[in-house]
Amino acid sequence: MPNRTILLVEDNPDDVDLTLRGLRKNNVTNEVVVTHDGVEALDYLFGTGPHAGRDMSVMPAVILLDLKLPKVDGLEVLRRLRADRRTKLLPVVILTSSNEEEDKAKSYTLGVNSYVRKPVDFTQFAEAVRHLGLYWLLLNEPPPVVR
Amino acid sequence: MAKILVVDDLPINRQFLVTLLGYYGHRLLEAQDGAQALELVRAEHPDLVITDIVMPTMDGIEFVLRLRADPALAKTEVIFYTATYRLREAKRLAEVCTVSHVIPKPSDPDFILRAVNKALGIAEGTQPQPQVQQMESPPFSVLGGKLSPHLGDLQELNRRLGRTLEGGFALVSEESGPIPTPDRLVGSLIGLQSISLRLTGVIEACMELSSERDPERLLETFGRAVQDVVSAKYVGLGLLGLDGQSLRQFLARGMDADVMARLGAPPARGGQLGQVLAERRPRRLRNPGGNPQGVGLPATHPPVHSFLAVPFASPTALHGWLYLGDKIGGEEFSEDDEQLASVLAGAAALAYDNIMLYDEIQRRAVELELEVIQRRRVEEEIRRLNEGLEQRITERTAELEAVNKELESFSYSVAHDLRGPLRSLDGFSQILLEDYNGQLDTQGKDYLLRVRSGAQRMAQLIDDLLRLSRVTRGEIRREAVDLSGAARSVVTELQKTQPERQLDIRIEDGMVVHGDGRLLRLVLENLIGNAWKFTSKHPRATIEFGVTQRDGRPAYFVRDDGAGFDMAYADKLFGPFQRLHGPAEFPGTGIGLATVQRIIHRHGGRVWAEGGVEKGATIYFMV
Repeated sequence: MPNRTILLVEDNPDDVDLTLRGLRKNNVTNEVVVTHDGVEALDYLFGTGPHAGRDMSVMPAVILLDLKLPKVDGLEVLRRLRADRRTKLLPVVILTSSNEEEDKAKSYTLGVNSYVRKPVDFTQFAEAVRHLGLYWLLLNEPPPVVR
Repeated sequence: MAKILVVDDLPINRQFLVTLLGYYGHRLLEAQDGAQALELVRAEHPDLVITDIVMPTMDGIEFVLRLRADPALAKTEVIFYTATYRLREAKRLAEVCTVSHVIPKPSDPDFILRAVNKALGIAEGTQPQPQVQQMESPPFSVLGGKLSPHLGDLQELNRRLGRTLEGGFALVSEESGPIPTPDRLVGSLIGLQSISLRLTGVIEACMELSSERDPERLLETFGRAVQDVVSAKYVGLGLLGLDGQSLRQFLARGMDADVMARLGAPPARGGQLGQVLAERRPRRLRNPGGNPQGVGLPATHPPVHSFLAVPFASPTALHGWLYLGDKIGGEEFSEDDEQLASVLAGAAALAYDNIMLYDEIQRRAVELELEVIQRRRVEEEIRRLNEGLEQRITERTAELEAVNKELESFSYSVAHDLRGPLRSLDGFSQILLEDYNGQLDTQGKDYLLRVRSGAQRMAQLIDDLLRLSRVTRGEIRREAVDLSGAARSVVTELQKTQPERQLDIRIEDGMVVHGDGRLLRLVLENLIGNAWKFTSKHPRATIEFGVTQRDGRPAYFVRDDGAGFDMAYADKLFGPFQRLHGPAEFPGTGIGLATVQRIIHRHGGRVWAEGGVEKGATIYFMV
């Protein structure tokens, strides 16, 4: 479990803090890699740009992906991940404010593993984050790493 | 002797010339119209062509023009042989067609022979003259007596002619002896000619009358023809007006302009002419002394010694009368004259009828055409307006679509961008409560709780607003919707949230409507949810969902016996964010009934509320 990391793709620093707090409060101590837009997230996952030379054998156990992101939005990030041999099996959870039918439909069509709406109520939000951490880090068996 | 082609559509006319000229040893060819004549000229190259002018198929003018146009035939000598009353016209045409001679019908044989000889270039007296009795008869001279005595001659003549022709021209060329009783033969021939020519005149006039399209020219032709055929000094033609009592037109021939000017029109129904109209029969009389008033003509009319009047009438219409005054070359008009004039008047009247009908048809055709044009113009206008309308509808639709798009993207922003800050408000308030609990007094903690509750209520408002806007968008998909089933499912959901509530819930069975299932379920969620909420302060309550009749249509209703509302504010219930209770009393955003109303309106239905304070509320809807 110490090797298993979480990739959080979130541009709102408040939401980053709240998510991290939710995880820590629930004793999820795994490393959380935070990227603030779609380009940065893709660089990290494909070992390009600032992340060139990164150990590509380390892939996140789960990606928490916001939809509305600067530069490249969440759906586009998802599409590129699913199109690449190395990342197409990675578990991706959309974590968003949007309750739009269209967003849900597109996400599932592109092969998302889960779609979670961020509640405004922090108690509920923290609860949601706790569930996500427990499930994807403890219960779920990750896909084999593709080399 | 010469080879002569005779062209005439009437066999009797051809026979006359053939017999006459054959008698003088010429070789004769016959054709009955221009087309046939043209072929014969090409095949036989005759020395002379004698042609009628008025013929069916191809007339004499056309025939001669074609003849002149063919270099091989152009030099052929041609004589026009035409009715007297066409003489002037024929002479003009002859010049145009370079035809050297015109023989009028009727003409006596001597005149014809001289013209033929002249055309053939045979000098006078070089040809053996048969014993022909000269007849001093001017072209206008016609039979004065009755037809019947001549008919006997005619029959006899025909018989003899037949024999003569059977014997061939040898009879003449062999000069094997004098023709039996040549005097009598020639006499009968002349008699035959006279009758034939008068009849020909009538027939040609009839042909001309029937082809005339202009009423004025028709009357003119009629007057001229009848004057020539009957040989009268004066002709008067009166046309009755619409009242049938007075003349609307009077035409006269045979008098000069001064006399005409003095004359004026005779009374329509005066004297002999009145009798003619009344009886529709011809009248013929002598008027010794010539006083025009004696026959009912005005005193200013030239003297009239003999008088013949016939009705100008067809079997269907009486147009007026025609009179002839002063028989030329005779004391009185004969019975033949009367018959000929009657025949001509009848034919002219029929032709006149036809022209009137033709005019009427023409007028109708013009009217119809105008109507069609008018209609086309209107259709064009409608089409143009429709196009304009379509254009405007297209523009408006585009505008609306643009506005809708904007609204959608606005909603999307609301969902994402407004909820984020609210989450921060709520989240960090909670963190303060958790991490700095010891440093906050009760009041401080209360404030933070209020911040959280405000943020959460705002989040709820945003969600409700978004739902309301979503209801407005998208297609209404109509299907059969089981309202009873949907209502039960809504109640089941509510009971899960508050299983302890003591409620009597009555839902009528089998309520099915035609509408959008998803939206109608939202209606029931809101209405039953409201009933659930507003009965929450009562230990026991009843919620009823049923159907009744309003204006002959089913009206569905959700009724509760809860807090109810003041009817004075009934109209405010359905406005967005309108609330009749404080949030402490009953929670809510005031969006539910606005959503219900919008959904019902989108179905083309209506919704209304009845109730009273603490007497419960009933919300009705029709779709």
